[in-house]
Amino acid sequence: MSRFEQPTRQSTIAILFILGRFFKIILKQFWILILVFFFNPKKKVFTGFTIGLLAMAGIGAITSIISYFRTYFYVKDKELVLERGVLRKTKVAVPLDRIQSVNFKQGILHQAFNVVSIEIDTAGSVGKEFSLVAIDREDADALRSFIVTNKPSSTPFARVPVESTEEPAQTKPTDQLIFQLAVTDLLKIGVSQNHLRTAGIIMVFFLSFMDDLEEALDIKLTDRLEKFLGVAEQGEIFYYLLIGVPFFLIISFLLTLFRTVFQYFNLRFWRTSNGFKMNSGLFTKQEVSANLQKIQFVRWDTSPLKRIFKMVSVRLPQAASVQVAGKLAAYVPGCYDTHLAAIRSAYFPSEKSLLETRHGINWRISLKMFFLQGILPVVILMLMSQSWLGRQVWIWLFWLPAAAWLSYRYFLNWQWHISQEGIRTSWGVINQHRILLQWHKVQAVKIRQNYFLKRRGLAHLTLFTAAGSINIPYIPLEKAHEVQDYVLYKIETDRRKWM
Amino acid sequence: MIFENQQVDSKLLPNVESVGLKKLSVNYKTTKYIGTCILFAFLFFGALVFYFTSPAKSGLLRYGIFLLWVLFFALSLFLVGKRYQLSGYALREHDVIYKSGVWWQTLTTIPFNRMQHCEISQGPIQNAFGLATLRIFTAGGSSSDLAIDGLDHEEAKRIKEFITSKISGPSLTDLSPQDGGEGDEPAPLNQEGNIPSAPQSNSHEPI
Repeated sequence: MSRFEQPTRQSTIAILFILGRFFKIILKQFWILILVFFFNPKKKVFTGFTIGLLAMAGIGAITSIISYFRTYFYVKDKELVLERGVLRKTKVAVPLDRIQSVNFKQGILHQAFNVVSIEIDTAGSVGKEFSLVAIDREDADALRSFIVTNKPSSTPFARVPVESTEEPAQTKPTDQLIFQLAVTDLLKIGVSQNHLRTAGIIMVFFLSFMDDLEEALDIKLTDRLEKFLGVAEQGEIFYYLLIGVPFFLIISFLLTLFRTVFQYFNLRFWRTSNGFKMNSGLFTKQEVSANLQKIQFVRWDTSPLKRIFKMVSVRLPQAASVQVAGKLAAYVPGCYDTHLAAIRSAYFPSEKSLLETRHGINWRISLKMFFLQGILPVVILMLMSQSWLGRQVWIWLFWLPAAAWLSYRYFLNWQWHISQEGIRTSWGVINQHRILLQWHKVQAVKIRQNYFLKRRGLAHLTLFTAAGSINIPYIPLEKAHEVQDYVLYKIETDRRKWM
Repeated sequence: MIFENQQVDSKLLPNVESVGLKKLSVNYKTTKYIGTCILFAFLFFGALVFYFTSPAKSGLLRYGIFLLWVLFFALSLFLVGKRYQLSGYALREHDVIYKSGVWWQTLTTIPFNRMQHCEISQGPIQNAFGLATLRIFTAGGSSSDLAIDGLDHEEAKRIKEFITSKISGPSLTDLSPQDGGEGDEPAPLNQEGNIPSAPQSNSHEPI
């Protein structure tokens, strides 16, 4: 074990990855140049400027190779030290007891060479992150267990996510399988994902791509498109739209479906001794684990399709420094009610045995929602479409009854249930959301009022946790104060660790 | 205690609302007034430029800019006063309370046992007026962090000292379980004997 006390280099394979990463960046910046070089040789690209850039890229490549030979890591005085730098040496030292988690990642190339990349997350907002590109698998495992056993404090080790192709041989017998998703479940999840978002991403991608392409190849794609549409008759445009829009939607539908199936293939969700573990994936296998103590709240969402399939997606946000917070929210894209119940009872064992009182919010929120979802968009659409709809702009008014219904439902659906130990909120009409939170996870309470709310004696109440906040809008001020005082009482008398 | 699950009567809980909030430094209001005046001096210059270059011949439009200037100036001065009047803070035995804002009035409470650390910062103008900003950090991002702007520097230092002692206090007892249960001892008095704005009791013991 003492081998980590000597300065060690990464695996020599790391050079490959460093160079690879470097060329990826170069390619991202210069792919237009390369494209032009091959397809439009007449256009002059090798001006002095570009040659200068290429020379700089060459120097960059050499520097990154040197940097490999000058990067060392070792353990000294209960601190994990990383030294690096070509001209100016920098040294990052992380006390072992501050290390929250050691994360391994293994892409396909990593697997081929049996190496992993390591990321080390430290506590709080210190932000000293520590990462190594490629280390031999055995060394990485040894380092991890070295850190775990040599941590001065006895805090349970936080999180050990692994991405690898191996079967989870390290699954301990104490781990208990809560659920497993079959391919049919995955198809249901894939179908009920948010396809509009994928469509948006594709659209943005193509628009920016087209811009670059036009410039590089001197083709005026937009002009051609305009000419093409210009000669087309009014009716023909409608025809193109009729074909084009569904085609576009089908593409994004299929893309999300495939992505979901690949990413969550053979998803298995385990209850481990100190939390949860989830592994999945067809090509890149990934393993995410969540420590029960770090999980701040449980959030589950449903869309109309998910409700038909009787499925929910679950999110378990964990306390972490800002940089890694996104990665640390364990996300289950879909599971059934019984699975959710198992997660809930693990997070909040006494939930079912406690008496809950149900509360709603003030009906005036529907006025606000009606303004935001009804009046405002209708006015904007009417103004925008005036030029081509002429006198028919009033058709937008048909949206108003629907908006009114949605706003009213929003008020009805907004409910919060409180018990001695926690709170459960639920809101949303089309997409419905639920959050379950234990009081002792809260770390700050905020009550907000503006002039209108104040006149009605209403307020917003926000409960902050180490991994996001929970907002209850439009409740009577006295109730907000009462909850605030009770939550503070619970936090201040609770000695449990909350993260 | 054998049975710890006592019934809690929410009416008897310490009440944030009833706490007397302490005002921010008067110097803070002064700096804000001066800042507003400087800003509007510049804007007056802009208004003059508009007056002399404006193509509009009509007097109303040309003089209107000055009317607007006066209106906004008055509004800004009013808001500075109002903001000062509405803002305040308080330290209790277990938490810090801070109230701020004019349009959105916000009341934030952070218990000491959920704070990570706190720090004082001082800009050049704040320095000239003996002011400081106290920042309180909680875990996991900035959304629940608190910044109390416009404290007297000395007061800020005292509060920081007090909070630091509070933050490190309970976590020490956490490390040695045999001391557990004594975390609620009264706040350590600091040397001068005057705890900043003597923390008001919100002890939970008597319930």
